[in-house]
Parts: sequence; C-alpha cells; structure tokens
Amino acid sequence: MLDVVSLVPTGPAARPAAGPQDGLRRVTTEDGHPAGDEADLIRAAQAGDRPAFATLVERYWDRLYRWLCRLTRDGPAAEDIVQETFLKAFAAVNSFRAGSNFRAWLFRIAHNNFVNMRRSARLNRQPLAPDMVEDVRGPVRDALSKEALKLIAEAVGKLPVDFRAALVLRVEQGLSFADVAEVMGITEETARWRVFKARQKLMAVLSPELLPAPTNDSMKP
Amino acid sequence: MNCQTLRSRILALPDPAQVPADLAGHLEGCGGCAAWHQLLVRVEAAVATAPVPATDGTARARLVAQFRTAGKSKPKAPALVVPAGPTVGGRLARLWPAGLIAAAILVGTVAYLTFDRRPGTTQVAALPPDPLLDKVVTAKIELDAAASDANRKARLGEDIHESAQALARVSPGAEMESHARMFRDVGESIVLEGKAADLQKDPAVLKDCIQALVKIEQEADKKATEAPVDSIRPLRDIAKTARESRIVLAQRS
Repeated sequence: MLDVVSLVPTGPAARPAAGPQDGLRRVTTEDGHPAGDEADLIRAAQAGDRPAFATLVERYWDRLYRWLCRLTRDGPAAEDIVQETFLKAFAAVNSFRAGSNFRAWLFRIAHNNFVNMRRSARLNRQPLAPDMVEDVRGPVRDALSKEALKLIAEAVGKLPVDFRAALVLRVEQGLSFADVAEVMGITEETARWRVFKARQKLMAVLSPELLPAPTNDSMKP
Repeated sequence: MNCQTLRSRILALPDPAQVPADLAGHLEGCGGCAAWHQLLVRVEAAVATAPVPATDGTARARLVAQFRTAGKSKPKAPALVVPAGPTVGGRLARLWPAGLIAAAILVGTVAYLTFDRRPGTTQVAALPPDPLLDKVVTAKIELDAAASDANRKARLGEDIHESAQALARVSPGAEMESHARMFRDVGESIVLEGKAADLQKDPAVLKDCIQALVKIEQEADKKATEAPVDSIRPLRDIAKTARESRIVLAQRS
C-alpha cells in the first residue's frame, strides 16, 4: 500500500486563501522568469557547477513528481521519469536560454520523457487518487465531502491524458497558458482549449452529482 | 448574458476564482450559476491539492548526492538510459540505429585501413556477415547509383528519415544532427534530379517525389513534438528540408 505525502502543495495552490467566496486557494499567474538566485544557479550549472544543479534538482523534484504522478498514475514510473528528466536537463543545460522560463523548459523535457515512456507502455497504472482521499486535509477537505473528493479524483483520472496534463499544469503548477503550450509543444490557443475542455468535462460529470437538483428557473435563457 | 455564455466564459478564464466584474454581476443574481461556480472553484482546489504517492526519497537523494559530490565539470550527456522493454527483441529494436552508426564507423575505419594503407588485401571480406553493415553499404551504393533517378533518391530520403526517427529516441544530439545534414544533402539532390527529370518520359516522377517529401515532412514534424529535446531541432530541420524541396518540385510540376 502506498503512503501519502503530506498535503503541502508546491505550486500556487500553496498560497494562503485570498478569495472572497470560499476561503480556498487562489491560482495566480507567475511571470515565469526565474528569481535572481535561480538565474544564478542556472548560470553556474551552465558553467559546469554540478552542486548548483543539485540545488535545482531539489527545488523542482517534487513539482515534477507530482505532475508526472497525475499523468502516469504510477508512482515509481513517475520517479523514473523525474530522474531521467534531470539527467537530460543537465546534459542540455547549455541550450537553455537565459531569461526564458526554466520551469517550462524542465517540464517540457519531462513531458517528452513521459510521451516516450507511454509509447513503450512501461506504465503500471493505478487509480491513485481515489484511494487516497482519506488523506486529504485542510480547507479542501472542509469544503468537500470524502465522497465528493473521490468523485473528483475519478473524474480527473478519466480525462484524456493531454487534457489532464494541461489542466494540472495550469491549476496545480500555476503555469500560464503560454507556458503550458511550451511544455506540451502546442500552441497557446490549444493549451487554452485543452484546459477549457478539461474543466467542461469535469463539470459535466460532477455537476449532476454534487450540485442540488436544478429548478425550472435555474438557467437563464 | 445567459447562463450558458457565462459558464463558458468562466471555464475559459486563467483562474475561474478570479471572476471579472461583468461576470460577477450575473453570479450575484443567479443562484444556479453561483452554485455551479462555487463547485468549479472547489473542484480546482481539489485538483491542485490532490495527494500523490510518497516515495522513500532514495532516488532523489542519490541524484542530488551525485551532483553534489562530483564538483565542477562541464555538463555532458549522461549514460544512455534505455527503458527496459518487455523482451530482448524489443531492446534490440530500440538499439539498432545506434548499432547502425557504430557499424558505419567500423566500416569506415576498416575501409580506410584496408584501402589506404594496404591496397589489395581482403580483410573486409573476412568479417562475419552483419545485417547492420549490409544496410549501411546498401544505402551507400543506392546513393551512388541513384545519380539519375529522383524517385530512388526520394526512397533513400525516406530510409534516412526512418532511421532518424528511430535514432531520435535513443541517441539525440550529434548523431541526429548528422542525420539531418545527410537528409539535407539528399533533399538537394532530389531537387536537382527532379528539375532535370524528363517529364515526357516519366510524368509521375515529380508527383511521387513530392508525395514522399510530404510524408517525411509530416512525420518529422509530428515526431519533433514527442522527441527528446536534443532531437527536436534536427527533426525540424528534416521537416524543413522536405518542405522546401517539395515546394521547389511543385513549382516545376
């Protein structure tokens, strides 16, 4: 049986609640540019400073792992891809252009690795999330019942992988649509459309289950 | 604004929790949409905080330790990680392009040593049969013999492209760059032959070449979206060469 990591979101979800309606987390768009120290670390890694790259590994390991877990639904496979991603990233770090988005660049490599792994069918898919809703804590757990969380996890798991990947990049990692596009090798419009469709599909499945029965006047013409 | 329009606009927002004023007005006056919106926001929060399986951290610690203890050195490609395939055959299938390159180097070295220093010896013939070597030799013969046949060169271009596709997965980097250059040479050759072809005698020659180039262009572009980073540019170069070549041929036809 798999353990569950503590619920310390690594993306924008980690930010404190700021919304007026529900007290849940808010996704904010980041500028996508590395902070000063990160730019220094990247420059050092490009100059061959391996410990500097180790710091980048520590900084991004969890984010990559979380995202890849959602894609693969296979913890060990996700870990393998993360490791492979960092090795390839270090080998190619000199091709990273200063001033561009390191996180999107790294996730792009991870996405390529995931696609390659999927093609070789090395995944051992498991219904990860539905089995772990017991471990959800915090404001989300307060706002949604255990059954609701299970339904949501199942619905997310049934999304086509490209839609799921785009949605999680946007919602959990807080990437802009442009960065989602860069990671997945698609246009910004396609990224926007995939997130839209993912949300639409989720709501189509979840609304009948989780919303009160509609009344005659619940939809304005 | 009706409810359907409002919901579509909210679904398209970067963050559905941050609703613009013109949409917020509708939400205040519509209980159904307000409940729907609240559910959407909660669903996104649940997606963002969903748990993932924990690991023991060994892989991470090992990798970090490797980088920390290695000190300073120029970034270089890690050892090739070949995914464990289900069968030995599967692994061999992955590795054959790398073997092809190795065989090409081997045959070049042997040929140099044999023909440049000791003409007349037959050491090459003494080597055991090697299918990879045969493929390299066949490709070389085909290239040399195809001087007046654009179709043949188009087929050769397909061969090189197929090889590049397989190579892209196992050996990105210099080998892929080399393949892209090789393809460019063939592309130029196809264009020259296509321009010089006798269309009265063989009217289908240009059409066949263009079709082959279109196929190569599409496949290379598609592969570039899935390939490892170091293979993306060479694959794009292959697609570009194919595109430019077919455009030139199309102008003649």
